[in-house]
Amino acid sequence: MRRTLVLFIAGAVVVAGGLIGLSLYSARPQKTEVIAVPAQGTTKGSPAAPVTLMEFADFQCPHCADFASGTLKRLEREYVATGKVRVVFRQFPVLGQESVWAAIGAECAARQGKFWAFHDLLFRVRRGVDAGAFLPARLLAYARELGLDQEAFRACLQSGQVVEKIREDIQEGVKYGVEGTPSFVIGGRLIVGNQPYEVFKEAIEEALAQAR
Amino acid sequence: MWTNWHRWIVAGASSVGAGISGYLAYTKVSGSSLLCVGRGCEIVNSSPFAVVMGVPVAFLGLGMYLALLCLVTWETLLSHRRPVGSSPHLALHPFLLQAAIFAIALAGTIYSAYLTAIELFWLRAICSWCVASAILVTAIAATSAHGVLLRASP
Repeated sequence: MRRTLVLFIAGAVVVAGGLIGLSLYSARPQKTEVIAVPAQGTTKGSPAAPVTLMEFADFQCPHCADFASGTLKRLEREYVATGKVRVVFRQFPVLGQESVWAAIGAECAARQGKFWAFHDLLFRVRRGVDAGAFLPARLLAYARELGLDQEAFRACLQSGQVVEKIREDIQEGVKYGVEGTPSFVIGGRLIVGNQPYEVFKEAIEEALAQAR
Repeated sequence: MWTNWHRWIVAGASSVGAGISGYLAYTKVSGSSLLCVGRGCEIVNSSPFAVVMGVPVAFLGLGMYLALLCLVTWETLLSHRRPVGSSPHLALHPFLLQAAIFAIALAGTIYSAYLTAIELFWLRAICSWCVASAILVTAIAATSAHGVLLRASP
């Protein structure tokens, strides 16, 4: 009877240890597709690129997340990496309070040169609107996950020093006629919504032809 | 030796635990907001530690509590059907089930301790539902251990 009990206890410890191991393994930072393009702040691509694609997005917006994981990656491969297009991300937090927190967090990450890593992470972990994924404590955890300077990030979050930049982004969006997210401006043309890749391709080719 | 008190505690705690896990699993799948004491639940439930190899931890918890409920029901039926000890072979069955309940609850307790440590030291957020579940599974482990160790001791 004692032997049986020892076997059960050993089994329990092995199962618990296995679960902990699997948990740590599955919680490890995920590798994302890395495309070699120069990035500075919230801009990605060569500063000399003839065409600029300006994206106005909200980190809580599901269509923005779809664009980030789909069309944007394809555009990066075909136009940004080849020096034809540079992408500029503009904050347009309209869906809720956590949209604003996420925008502030992303701008704080930009100040440490990690905007795009933060951008990818936020879109990967987003869930419903104001569901707790982008609360300040959570943003701090993301910053820790990406190896940002914790104290500088915390100070940036609390000081509101990036709020003016976000306000300018929103005003710029309004100037272009942006009313919702995601919206894009390519060569002065406004594209509303996460349109098929071909729509972006056509607008970029048109802008490239004009730039020649 | 298990008494009816052991069985009631294990069954009661397992039922409440299944309710909590079921609620957490539902919010995880539906994406709806969690009712919570404080704001820690959303942080914990949306963290990468809330999912193990694609399976939400809430589902693992629900599976564990339902398994415990099934086992304690089976053990109760078996113990009340025949007088324990009438045959060495038959007498082993309730003990095996009791030991299985103890082992499952022990594994759950160890895993809950790990998750609580993650909440405290990594996420720095406490999920009240998760703490309630950790207390319940620890109570089940302690209760089942009390009966099982008494019987296994020489």
